[in-house]
Amino acid sequence: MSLTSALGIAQRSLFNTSRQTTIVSRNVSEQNNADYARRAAILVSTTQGARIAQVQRATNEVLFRQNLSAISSASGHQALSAGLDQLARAANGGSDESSFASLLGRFEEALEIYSAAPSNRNLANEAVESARDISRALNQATAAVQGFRADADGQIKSAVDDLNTYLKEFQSVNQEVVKGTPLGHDINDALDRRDLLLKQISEIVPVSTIGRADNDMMLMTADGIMLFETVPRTVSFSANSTYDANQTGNRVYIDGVPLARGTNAASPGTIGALMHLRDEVAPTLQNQLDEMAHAMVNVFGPTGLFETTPPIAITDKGFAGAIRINAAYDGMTGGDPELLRGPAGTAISDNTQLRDFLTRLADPISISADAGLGSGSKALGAFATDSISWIESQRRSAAQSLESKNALILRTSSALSNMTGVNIDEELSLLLELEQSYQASARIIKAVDDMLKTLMAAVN
Amino acid sequence: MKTSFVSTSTIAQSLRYQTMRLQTELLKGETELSSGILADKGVVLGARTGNTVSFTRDIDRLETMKTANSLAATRLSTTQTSMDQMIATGDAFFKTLMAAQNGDASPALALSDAKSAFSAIHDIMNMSVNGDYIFGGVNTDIKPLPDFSNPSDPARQAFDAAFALQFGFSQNDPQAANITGAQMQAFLDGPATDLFLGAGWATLTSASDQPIITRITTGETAQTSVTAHDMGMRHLIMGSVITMGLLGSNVSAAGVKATLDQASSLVGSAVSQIAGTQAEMGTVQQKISRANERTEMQISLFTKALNALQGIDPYEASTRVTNLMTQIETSYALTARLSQLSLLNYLPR
Repeated sequence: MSLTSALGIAQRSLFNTSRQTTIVSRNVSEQNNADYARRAAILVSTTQGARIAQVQRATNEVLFRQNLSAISSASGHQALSAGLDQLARAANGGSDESSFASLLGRFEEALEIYSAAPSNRNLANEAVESARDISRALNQATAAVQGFRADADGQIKSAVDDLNTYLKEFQSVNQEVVKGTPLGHDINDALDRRDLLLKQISEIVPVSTIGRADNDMMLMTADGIMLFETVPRTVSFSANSTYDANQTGNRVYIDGVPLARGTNAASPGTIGALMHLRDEVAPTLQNQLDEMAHAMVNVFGPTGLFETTPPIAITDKGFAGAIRINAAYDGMTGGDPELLRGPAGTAISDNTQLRDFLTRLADPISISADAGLGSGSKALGAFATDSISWIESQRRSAAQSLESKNALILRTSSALSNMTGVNIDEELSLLLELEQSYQASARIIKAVDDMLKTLMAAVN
Repeated sequence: MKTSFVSTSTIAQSLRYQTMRLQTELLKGETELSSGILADKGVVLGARTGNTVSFTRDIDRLETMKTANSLAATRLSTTQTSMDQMIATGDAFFKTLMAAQNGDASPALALSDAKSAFSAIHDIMNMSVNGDYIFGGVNTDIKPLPDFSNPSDPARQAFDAAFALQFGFSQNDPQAANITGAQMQAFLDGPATDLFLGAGWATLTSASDQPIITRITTGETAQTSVTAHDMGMRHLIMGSVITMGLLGSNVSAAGVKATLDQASSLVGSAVSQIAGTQAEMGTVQQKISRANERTEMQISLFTKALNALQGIDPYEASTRVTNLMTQIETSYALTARLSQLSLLNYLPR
């Protein structure tokens, strides 16, 4: 309890104030960083004055976990929505004008007009051209759907590569945390980095974290596969560069255990959503295209207007990619489109065959359950519009889910940020207090100095 | 100690998010306003999107059917006009035949009238619409009625050959003056009837006996042409051809009388039979116009349903766009003002 100790306490106070100012300045500089948790100094009092016991990092476990799962959901639904949009455009065009349903309607119109004036060769040509539009649309849709599957593989591969990179980084950051905790080092930056990595990982696969001693962390996927336990597990995937309708895609393996696919309602994580699209939505769409192609070949007969090049069994997948106009009817390659009216020798205004085709196009066809639109029999036109309805209803539910997941992620990230983020005004008012405290401590030092001077003057 | 529960980045982020959301809505609203239909049908309608496609397709189909029906309607009205003209020709010829039978007119007059009547019938029956011969049945690319007035025409020669086969000499042979009325009647009732009204007609005309059938709605068909195999026309043709072929030659007066009698009875019944065919075709015309009415009604029903699904009320859309623009301006003003709200402005300098 002497002047010296007063001086010592004042000095300590200056030191604490400058340390706190560092913390304030760090907070202010990171105000817009969403992955930074606010630091605050914890002071404890000792007989030699106050001491900064630790620099505390604001955390909220519950909000953080909620945010992680919201991130997984949102990113999965984003991938799902984007993929469904792409598939719908591929199969049906921008506003359904190149869908099989619309083209079938136009083909029937062309046949209708041709049957009203069967002696007109131009109308025969138009009918065949209309049929060519159908076969081309089916071919292009098949190519687009299979191309989409190859794209999905590419995206899954890059996501898996990213995941492996993140896990490696996670290992080094985790080690830093585990080493630093017992020694009392300032590991707050490492904790920030670890949280950021967790956010990035949960975009790809949903993770749940399990904390262990010394701030160690274990990572598992939502269905219980171990991702990280002191060392990262290898995530492996072999992508196919092209797909045909008969090929099934490979799965993602974490340490030899296959990752589960997402379903439409719960598609967490980018990988889950992409695999759902690649393995369930795209093949079903392909089956629908195949059914429509079968129906066209059946109405006109195996040697009629439509054929397949190369020849392919009607039960094979990818039939829609092989359907073509029979060259014998193709005016552009030397064929005769008027064969549509009947074999050579048919009377020029005889529209019996054409009316028969029109009736058969309206007859019910039998559909298999693989096409995802029920089974039994249905008119081809109704089947075609059902196919459009099917994918659009998936798009709709994905878009609605995405909207709600986006709203959720906004709330969870706002809540987390409110709990752990920086408020400029608070920091500035703290700074005002620190300034006052610094002035006061400096004043004390001056006062003690004056007192010591007085003492020295009295002694001398 | 943390006393606040709002962080600076949340304030900024939520304003940003709202502004972006409003801008996306504005874009959608503008598209809808200018096009009159939903901007993204699939997302709004979901499983009912297929219905819009099927309505659009059906509307187009029904419009096409109306166009196709107009082709058939044109053909039918031309056919009706032609049959009117044939009846008029038949009536005039019938009067001349009656006068010739009564002796008020000479056979030479009957012959020249037969020639002009046949020429008129020949023109009428070989009429074409858009390059199709309307009386040809499904063989619309070949003239249905051969030229019986031309002696070197195969059809005329077939008639002359039938005469020669029956009597052993042609009508210009001097022996023809000895033909009795009964013999002539036998010829007219036998080979001549066979040639024109029986199985022989198919060898003379290249018209098909299959009329053109048109689909007038998706479920109905109708016969929309009259072929040259129509009985009334064949009676009329036979009447004029036998008169042309047997008068003005060396055939006896009895033979000529038998011919005139047969011709007048043929032409008389032809006129009423053709009128009968006209009535049948009139029924078909009515059927087509009723089908068109029904099609028209269906089109307007479907159009209404389609608009209910994908249409946008322009007033509602423009109100929405105006509101959105106001909201965006408000959010811009708020963003600007909040960014100025800071403790920094109040610290002493």
